[in-house]
Amino acid sequence: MKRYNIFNWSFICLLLVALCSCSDYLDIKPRGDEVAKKLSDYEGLLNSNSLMSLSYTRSTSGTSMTILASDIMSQYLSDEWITDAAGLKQLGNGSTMAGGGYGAVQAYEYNGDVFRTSDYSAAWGSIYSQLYIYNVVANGAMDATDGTTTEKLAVQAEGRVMRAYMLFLAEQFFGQPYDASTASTDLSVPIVTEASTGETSFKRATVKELYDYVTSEMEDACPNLPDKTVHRLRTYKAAGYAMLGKVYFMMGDYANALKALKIAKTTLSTDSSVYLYDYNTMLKTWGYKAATPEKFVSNSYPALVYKNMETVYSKSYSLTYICSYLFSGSLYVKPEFMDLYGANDLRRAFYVAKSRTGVAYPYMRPIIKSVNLGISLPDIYLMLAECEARTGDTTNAESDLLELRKHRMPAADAAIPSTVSSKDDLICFIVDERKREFLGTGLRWLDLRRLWNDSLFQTEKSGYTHTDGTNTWTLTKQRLTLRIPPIVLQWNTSWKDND
Amino acid sequence: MEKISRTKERKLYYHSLRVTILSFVLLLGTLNVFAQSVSDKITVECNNESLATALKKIEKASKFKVLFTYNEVQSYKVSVSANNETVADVMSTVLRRTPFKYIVRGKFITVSKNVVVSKKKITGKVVDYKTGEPLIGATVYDTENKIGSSTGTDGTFSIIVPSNCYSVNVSYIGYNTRKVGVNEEKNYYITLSESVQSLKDVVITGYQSISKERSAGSFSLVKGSEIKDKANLKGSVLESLEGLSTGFNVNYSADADKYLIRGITSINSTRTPLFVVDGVPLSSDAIEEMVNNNDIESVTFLKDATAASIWGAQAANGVVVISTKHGTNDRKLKISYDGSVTYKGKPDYSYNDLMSSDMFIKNIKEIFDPDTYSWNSVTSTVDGLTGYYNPVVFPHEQPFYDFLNGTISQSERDAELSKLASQDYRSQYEKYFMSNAYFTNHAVSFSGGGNHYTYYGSLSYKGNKGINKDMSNKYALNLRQVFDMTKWLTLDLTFNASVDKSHGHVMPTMTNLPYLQYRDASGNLLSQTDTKLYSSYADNVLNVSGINLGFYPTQDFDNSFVHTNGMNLRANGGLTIKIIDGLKYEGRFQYYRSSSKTEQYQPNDNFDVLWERAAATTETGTQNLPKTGGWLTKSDAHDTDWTIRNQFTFDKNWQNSLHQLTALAGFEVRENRIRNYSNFVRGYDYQTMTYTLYDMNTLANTGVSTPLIQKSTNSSNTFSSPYFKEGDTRYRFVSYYGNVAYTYNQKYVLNGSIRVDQSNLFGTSARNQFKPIWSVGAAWHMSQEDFMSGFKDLNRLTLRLSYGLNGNSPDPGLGGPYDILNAYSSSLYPGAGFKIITPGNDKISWERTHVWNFGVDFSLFANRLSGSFDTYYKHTTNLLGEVPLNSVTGWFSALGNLGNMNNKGFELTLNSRNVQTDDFEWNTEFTLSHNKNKITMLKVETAYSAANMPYANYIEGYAANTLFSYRWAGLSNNGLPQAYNTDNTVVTKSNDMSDTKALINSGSTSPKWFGSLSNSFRYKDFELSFMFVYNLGYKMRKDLNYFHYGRVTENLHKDFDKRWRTAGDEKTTDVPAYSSSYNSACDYYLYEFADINVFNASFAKLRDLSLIYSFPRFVCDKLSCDNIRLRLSAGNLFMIRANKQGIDPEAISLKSGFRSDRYKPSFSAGLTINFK
Repeated sequence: MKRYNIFNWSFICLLLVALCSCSDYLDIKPRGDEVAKKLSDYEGLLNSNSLMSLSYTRSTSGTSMTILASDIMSQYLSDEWITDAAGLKQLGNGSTMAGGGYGAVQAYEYNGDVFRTSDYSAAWGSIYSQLYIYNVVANGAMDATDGTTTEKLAVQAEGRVMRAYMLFLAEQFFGQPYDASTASTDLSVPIVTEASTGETSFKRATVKELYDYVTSEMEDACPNLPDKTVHRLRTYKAAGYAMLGKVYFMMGDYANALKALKIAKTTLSTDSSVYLYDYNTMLKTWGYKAATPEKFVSNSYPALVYKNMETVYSKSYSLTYICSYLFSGSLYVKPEFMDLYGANDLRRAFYVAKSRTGVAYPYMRPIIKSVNLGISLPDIYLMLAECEARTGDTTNAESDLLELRKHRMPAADAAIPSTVSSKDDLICFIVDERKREFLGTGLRWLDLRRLWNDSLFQTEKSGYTHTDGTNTWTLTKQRLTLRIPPIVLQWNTSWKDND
Repeated sequence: MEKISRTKERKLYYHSLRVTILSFVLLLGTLNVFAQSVSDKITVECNNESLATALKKIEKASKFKVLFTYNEVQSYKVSVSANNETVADVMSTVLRRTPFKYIVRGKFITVSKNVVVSKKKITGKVVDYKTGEPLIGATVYDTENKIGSSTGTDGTFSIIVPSNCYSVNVSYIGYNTRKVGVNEEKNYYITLSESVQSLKDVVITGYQSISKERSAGSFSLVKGSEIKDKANLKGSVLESLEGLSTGFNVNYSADADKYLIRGITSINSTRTPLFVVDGVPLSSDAIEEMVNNNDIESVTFLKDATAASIWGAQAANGVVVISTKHGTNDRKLKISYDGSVTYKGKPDYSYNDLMSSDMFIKNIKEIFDPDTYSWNSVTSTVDGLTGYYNPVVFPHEQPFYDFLNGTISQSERDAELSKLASQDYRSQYEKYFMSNAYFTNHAVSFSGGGNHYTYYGSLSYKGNKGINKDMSNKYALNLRQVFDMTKWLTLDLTFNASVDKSHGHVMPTMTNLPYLQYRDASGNLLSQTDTKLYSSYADNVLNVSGINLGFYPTQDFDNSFVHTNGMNLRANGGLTIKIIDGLKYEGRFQYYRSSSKTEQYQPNDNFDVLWERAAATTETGTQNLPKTGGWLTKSDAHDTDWTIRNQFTFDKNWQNSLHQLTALAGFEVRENRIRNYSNFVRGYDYQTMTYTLYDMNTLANTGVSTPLIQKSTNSSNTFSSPYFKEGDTRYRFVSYYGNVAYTYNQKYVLNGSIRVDQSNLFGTSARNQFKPIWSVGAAWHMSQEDFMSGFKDLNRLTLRLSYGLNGNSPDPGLGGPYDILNAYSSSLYPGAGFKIITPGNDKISWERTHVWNFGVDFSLFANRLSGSFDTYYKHTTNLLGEVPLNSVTGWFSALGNLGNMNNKGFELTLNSRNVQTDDFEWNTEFTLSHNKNKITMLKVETAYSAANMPYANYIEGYAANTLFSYRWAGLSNNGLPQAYNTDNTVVTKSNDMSDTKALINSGSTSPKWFGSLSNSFRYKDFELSFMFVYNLGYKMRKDLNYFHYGRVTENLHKDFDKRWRTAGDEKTTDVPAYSSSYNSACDYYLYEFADINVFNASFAKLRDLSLIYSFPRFVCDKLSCDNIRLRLSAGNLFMIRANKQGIDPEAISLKSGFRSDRYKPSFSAGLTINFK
């Protein structure tokens, strides 16, 4: 009798456990983790610190990250730098992880082998790892389980525009500069449009293939971008068109660039969150004192790109090792570049020839710690002006240029000098304005590539040199591209490396 | 013809086996003579012949010499027809109708007349030697006349024996049999000691207990009594298992895996064995928390596939099963007390090889360089100091600068320096920050039971005083009850609870500059702000903000505190129902929960608090953090684990045990959930429980511009310490398992087992999870065979062979066919952000370890010598890890299967009862384990270069943890390190080496050989035992001077004083030259990873030595105790080591060469009382 009771009981026990063990039991999700399904998941992927800068990180255990490399080598290749033996030694003290180090010295000395066998490249690594995320969004957003088509298209467009722009950036470091006559044979970087870890064979696209893909992808997707953005780290219509303009600009296709940039400018005209700082009033607010310029090193200037009101879209890299006032100097600004500033140009305020405790050294810009490779308003004005000048619309070119200049110096000094009389003079003046605006950031690297074959700038080339006081190194055409990092080449042995 | 030759062959075989055994015996030096036995079989035929003739015939047929008096026996006629009967039987038959009896002595059988003998009465009590507890049912018999009896419930016996009986044999299951002399007629008190060997007859896998005869697996079993005293000395249950089982290795070196069974079988997954208590897995930490060392009944090590595969996907690294004690039926309440005090002391400072103040200042004088580090630069920037964000001038630099600046004279400078040289920081450090470590342990246990109910319980206290004036107290309760409800229903219930409280201090972040002082001679606090911030900056902070950045480490240490309150609970219940004969249902449920709350407080005047406050103050004096109150961090951690198990077991014999079958099938559900929270608040006043609000959002995002002091290289200081953090991880498992053991004729054993585990591997399809873990095994009890009956001294010989597959699964959320997104909140973005933490990979699979095991168990000379030998081969495939990917995919690597490795080795255990007399016993146990590991395939992201090879732990073609070194070529004539390239040319940079062939394999940091040698002696009431452990055949890097350039911020290694100074020094030293700033021509790694700095790490240590005195009977009786034992023991009394550098290989990181704390020998005193 009793025995049967017990049987019943044990049966119930068994049943209970059997119920627990059905598949639901194992289907709990770890808290904090998710698999992309909803549109908000794809949006969440775009709200990611991993997309903020060109710093190459990698997740180690679970969610913690290690920085593998954050040093963008092009900053050391720019022609505005000068240093001495001590500065070069200081530069070598850094590391590819934090900035400076072996590769930085090689780059400064215009040696081809910037990356050693085990060195990670911040540019390559961050661009292709971000490309994976943008591909997930671009290829997956339309399959989201919720959201309207317009909403999905907007998220998809962000993914598409950004994957195109990331490829464009990779081209600026590892592909030949655009030259219409050789673009179909010159090598660029591989075009990756799928997020897949299973893919093993990739080939380097030609420069033409790359620009064709980038421009058509952006032309196609830009109209779907949202009109307004929630943050400078997210792409929207103004940013998208400005990026498209920048791509054409770098191709030397100034007419198409102008078209895109004009759309960007029109969109921005109604956006109150993006504007030019008027240095005439702001410098004081930021804590600049003419009597103690060297103290203007740590102040309330919005040095972080994504907090700067002039930023349209932020994709930044770090310049710590050149600019920090905590260390002895490594690279300084050439005096001839400083001479480009007029006496009352307020942008001078950012350059000091003394440490904050008064030790003298050559000109250095200690204030910037991050540089924008995305889109900034001054860049839009300068690109617009140059495109207009090049397409013959000097009137608009001058007015766009003036708009920027009057935010940088007293109105009396802002006018374009009378010595600038011809169209070519104006183009050269605008390029000089770019130097003045972006001095000490390494952004000049893009202009060096763009203008390498430009007949107006051939005489400048003799100045594309670096020195440590005893040795002099000169930039050559081969050095306009970085070699593919060996860490990448070892997987893609069939590739032809850059010279 | 054929038959004969086969017989010959067999004889030859026996002969050679005999020779082998004999030489083995000789080798061990144990004396033993081959004796004839009365159970030898003979064939004798005589029909009504004289007794004398019959005896002669027996003599002829057997190998005995039969002694008799011819005249005496001549008149008797006997008949016998014995065909293959034992000598004893034949003798009995022959003498049956005669007045004669016979006695066997060695080779002689003596036949003599039966005389009527007087009888005597022997009485006594048989008890356990260690506990004094009576042994119920022990057998006592007269060795001469085979008259015997067994002991009753109080352990007493009484037998009447012929007066020619001089000794009795006393035996009890699980104890060593003793022969006791009984010349006098009196009450004997007989103690038996537990046999290490006999208890090993039952193995406990956690799912079942099975007699060892019926398993083909590789097990070792350790009794609780062997662990108890060792655990008191070490303060750890698991550490005290060291040396007690082959294959189980305890590593104390800083970067080694602490517990390993049979080598390393995984690179990135778990490598520690699975620990199981009473059938349910528990973490090693939980075991130390929950299990009182007195309560352990036994520990079983499951080493091969057959033994471990019942644990499925968790068993690839072996399993350690701990069983706790339970009560005994029909036993009145027994209470015992066990207590001990162990002194550990402070770590040995001199072991660190750091400079004295004197030597330090001497070296500072030599290297001070005001050209590189000018007064201007060190007081305005952080020149030369890594990790510092504000200018610092150290006290050992100040006099030099003062002299150069002209503020003091040269003699004043030298006077200041010699003052520093005379100050010793260590004695003050030890006084104000350290205490001697010791632990105390008190436990009272009680047990008993009636016919249907047994119980065992204990109450214990553990106190642990740490080396940094910290103390923890733990109280634990354990109660285990078994209810026999009916004949077919048994319930058991175990309940453990422990509470622990600990308190300590927050150690201030200090540098160990050897001259620093904490208090002056009269005890006043001395500030060490100079080591943090240049004084003019500190003065500026005070002037602008009123914050006094005085750094008084002892005050900060004393006023801060860390309190931890922990609570552990475990309830384990089981239900056994006998359904039909042989078939049982067993249900088990365990719930385990541990929670701990930690509270850490640093008050208002704590330097860290003040420093942060200054960093949040602008140069105009605006304070952005609360001006009062300190830091409070509260954190909670909860670990909940429950298991439900249902299983059916079937156990039956047929045809008088010709067939024996044990089968088991069941399933199990388990969940483990780990949760933790932490809260942090600034500006908190602990007494009033109030805090001040401040703008956390601005501090975290915008930060403080133009701060008084820098917090990082950023131009504004941001403060983003998390206010609230939560973690929650859940693991769920569902498992199905089955196991069969079949024995035929008690000779042939077949085992098989299978298990399927499924878990909540997030993002993994269930299809990928169906990975059965299985094993098969066979054993042959050779000694049971008839043809072995000739080997009288071979008590046991068993051969075992097993093969199977074990697994190791990836963690949930790591690897699967989908991209796994991890949510995080960033104040930068609107809405939630997601990061892809693992890219999709649908090819990921579990680590699989195939295990072969072959073993031999043997026992010789009446079990005087026993042992076992096992040899194994483990092949692991699909090693999990970061698999390198073509970086064009966007990933340099992703979790996947990246390689294979194998482990092979053998293990030998020998137990010997060397001497066993009434008063003196001597037992020896020797274990030897050999393990050889090799990584046969391993994908790597980038091919190793000569520059990064020394950092790699796992390289294809080599053993795990192989050290690769540069071939040292001495220092150059300007003091730079040099090494040989592949072609034997000398290079000064590892980058200049042509390839990795320039490096040499200096050996692995995993011991190839390890084991122990234990001896125990007992003389009357004294017992002495000691154990040596040894680790052999492995390598380590030596600690070095790692300071080669830059400014001195901490104490230096003594080797710095041996550095190259001037040309020619390279002939006498290998320590590279110092340069004031980084010398890019120099590659110090060539020196740090040079082959000259790799040494043999082999060592043997006297791990423990203990002396036990058992109080005499009359004392115990007077105190109403069964037994009182006093124990004195010492740990790590001495060491024999292969290196001459004074390195203790257990107190160094073998891989990097960094020394860790080394303690002097520890001492322990303990008392055990078993009350009547």
